[in-house]
Amino acid sequence: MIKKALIYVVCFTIGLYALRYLHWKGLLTQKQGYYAKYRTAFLEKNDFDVLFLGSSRVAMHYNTALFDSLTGSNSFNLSLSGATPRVSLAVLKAYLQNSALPKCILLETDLHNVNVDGDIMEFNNYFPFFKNKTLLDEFDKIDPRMKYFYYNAFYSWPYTGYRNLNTSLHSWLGINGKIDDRFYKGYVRNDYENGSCLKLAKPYTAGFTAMNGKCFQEIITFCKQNNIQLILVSSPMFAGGKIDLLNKQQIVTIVDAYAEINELQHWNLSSTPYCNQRGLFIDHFHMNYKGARLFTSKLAYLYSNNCQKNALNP
Amino acid sequence: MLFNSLIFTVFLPIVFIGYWIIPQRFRNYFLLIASYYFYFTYNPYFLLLLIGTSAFDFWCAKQIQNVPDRKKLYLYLSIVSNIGVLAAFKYSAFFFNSGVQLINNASGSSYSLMESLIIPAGLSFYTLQSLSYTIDVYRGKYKPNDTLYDFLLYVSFFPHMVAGPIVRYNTLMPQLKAVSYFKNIDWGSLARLTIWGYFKKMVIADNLSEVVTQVFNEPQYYNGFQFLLAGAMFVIQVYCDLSGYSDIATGVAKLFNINLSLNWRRPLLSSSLQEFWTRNHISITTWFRDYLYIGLGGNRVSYTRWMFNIFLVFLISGLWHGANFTFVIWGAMHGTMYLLEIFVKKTFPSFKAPRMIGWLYLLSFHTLSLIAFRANSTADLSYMYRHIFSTEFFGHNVFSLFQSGSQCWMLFFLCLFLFVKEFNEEFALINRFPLLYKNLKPAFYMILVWILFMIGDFNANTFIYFQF
Repeated sequence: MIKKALIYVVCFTIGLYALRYLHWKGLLTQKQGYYAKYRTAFLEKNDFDVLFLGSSRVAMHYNTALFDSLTGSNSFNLSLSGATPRVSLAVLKAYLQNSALPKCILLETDLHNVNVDGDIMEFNNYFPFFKNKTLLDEFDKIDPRMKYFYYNAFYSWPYTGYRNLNTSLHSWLGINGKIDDRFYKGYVRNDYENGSCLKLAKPYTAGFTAMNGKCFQEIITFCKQNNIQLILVSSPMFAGGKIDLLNKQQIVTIVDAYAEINELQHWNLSSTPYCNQRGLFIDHFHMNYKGARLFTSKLAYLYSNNCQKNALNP
Repeated sequence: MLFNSLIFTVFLPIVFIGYWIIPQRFRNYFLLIASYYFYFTYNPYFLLLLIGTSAFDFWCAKQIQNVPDRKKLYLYLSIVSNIGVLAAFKYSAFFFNSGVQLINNASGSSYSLMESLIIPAGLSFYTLQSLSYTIDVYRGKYKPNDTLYDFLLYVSFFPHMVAGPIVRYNTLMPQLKAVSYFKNIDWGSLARLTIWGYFKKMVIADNLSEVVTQVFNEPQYYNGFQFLLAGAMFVIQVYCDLSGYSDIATGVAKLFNINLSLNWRRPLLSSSLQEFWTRNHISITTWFRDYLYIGLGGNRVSYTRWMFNIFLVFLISGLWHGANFTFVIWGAMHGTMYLLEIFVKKTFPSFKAPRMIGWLYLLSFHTLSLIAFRANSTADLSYMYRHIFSTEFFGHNVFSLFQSGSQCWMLFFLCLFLFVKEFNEEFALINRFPLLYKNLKPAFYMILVWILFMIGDFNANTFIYFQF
């Protein structure tokens, strides 16, 4: 009886790890989409000139194709959903494990998000990429379950979710997912129009947590030490309806102070006139394709005029 | 403590090991303490209520035997105490608020409503179980010769205490008293029941719940077809949730060599409502039959009274499920349809619908009635029925209730899988190939656990019947 039970347990465990291997393999070999982006960022050797760092706002606002065509640079959108300064720092370090130092980093200040730390949003998406030791270590510092997730299939499977499985299956079958072809070098095009998802969230105030403030400063210091030009960017937030983030101006002032102390540029585009145009936004924090084009053009213009010369020919 | 919570995975092995290493004569005491601890984790104060009501029923049963002249009085005392506790916690706010609303509507005044009380976990189950004992003693079915500890354990045995199955005295007590041996544990059926139970709950029911909850909580965003679809999904969710709990409870009880009674016999494969109620939640159905329906005179009364008895039992069973008019409507719908079936059977004795037609009829009716069961209020229910039975049946995008295509496909395959398994059990299909059956069985259950790990919901969602 015990022998039989033991055989079942062993077979079950081997099967569980084998299934996880196949699942991860599917995700790691995705041709286009989120996982292809993470593969490029964390597992491949890259030599990008410009990196865009921040949350899903960066993913949707910073159109890499347009930026490259307007500035002649080779940029990559290194954004992660819900990334706080703490997560962005971890992502940057993980990226640099395999890749060369960029010449310039545009760091999105994500004014709405600086009051959150300790969370890695959708962390289950990154399990297969923990082959990148730095990513694993850095994420584990934020959430100490990460190493258990990586090494223990019994623990990681319940957090996987059917959406991930579906993506892996698509990858194995060589079929593109619905939004996979909207990706280009980390940028994801979003075609929703006329603020179709605009819903007023509960109004709130945000402020830098001590940890986010520390990590924000750490990114600045890191860039200084490695001779990387860092630009702080506050990209547009919808201002055509009631405002969710009540103390936006207060946070902008704090970011300005960071910029001044560290002799950085802060391009505050969070309140440009087109922020009132509903047709450019998906929701209060995210722009659609049209909005992203407009914003990226402005960004490229600023970049060409203010720092391209220095960044590309230091 | 829920069966699908992390703490239960610690609690169960401790109780299991403790039970088998201590001497036989102390085992039931140990099991009683473990059961009370299990209940204590829900709400410590309500543990006193559980002990109090069961001890009082035990005393009543003793008095019924010791003072035969006044046995009716002690029976009534037991009934009043149990129903009283149920009424106080579960129905007081409902009846009070219904009365106040009537007065407010009639007089235009605005008396304030009462806040609902917290209902002790499993109250509806353990009161019925305890009550069945005193009624049976009163009817002379058993003699109350047990010790108080035995009786307390009978009521509070942790695998089934909170959400059934309601086990009769003559099923459970002899097993609790018998000498049990470790070697007699039926590991095979224990594993099969538990795995299938967890699969039904955490994979099928919890994944369906994501869609169902969203539709029933915000009906204004959906159309008639989507209500029907959500209703059909709720049919499967309820079945998987409740039968999943019963299967886990039965499997867990087997760790202590206790066999709980069969509670579900593939009710969704029934072809009539009468058949459905012989297969669905059997322990509750038989309780209502034995202690309420028969108490009302059963079928040994006039034809009209008999019909009334049946209808009343359904109404009360509806109300037993929850203090809300939606449950009463559900009970009334089932009562009416049950009586209609009797009428058709009596008027056209030779009529027999093909099984497939019967099955489709049953599923359609059950779906419609469970929409009433699940609706949050009568206003929501009326809104849903109006959209189902109107020209606005189809909206723009009927599948918009799913978050993604993958969710839709996953739920479809899970439901299909459930029906294939049930169908196979019903007609013993694979048993016709014994060699295949023997070899495939372990692999099949291993695959179930893999799927459980892969797409199961590990958020320790409560079981639906906990609210009752």
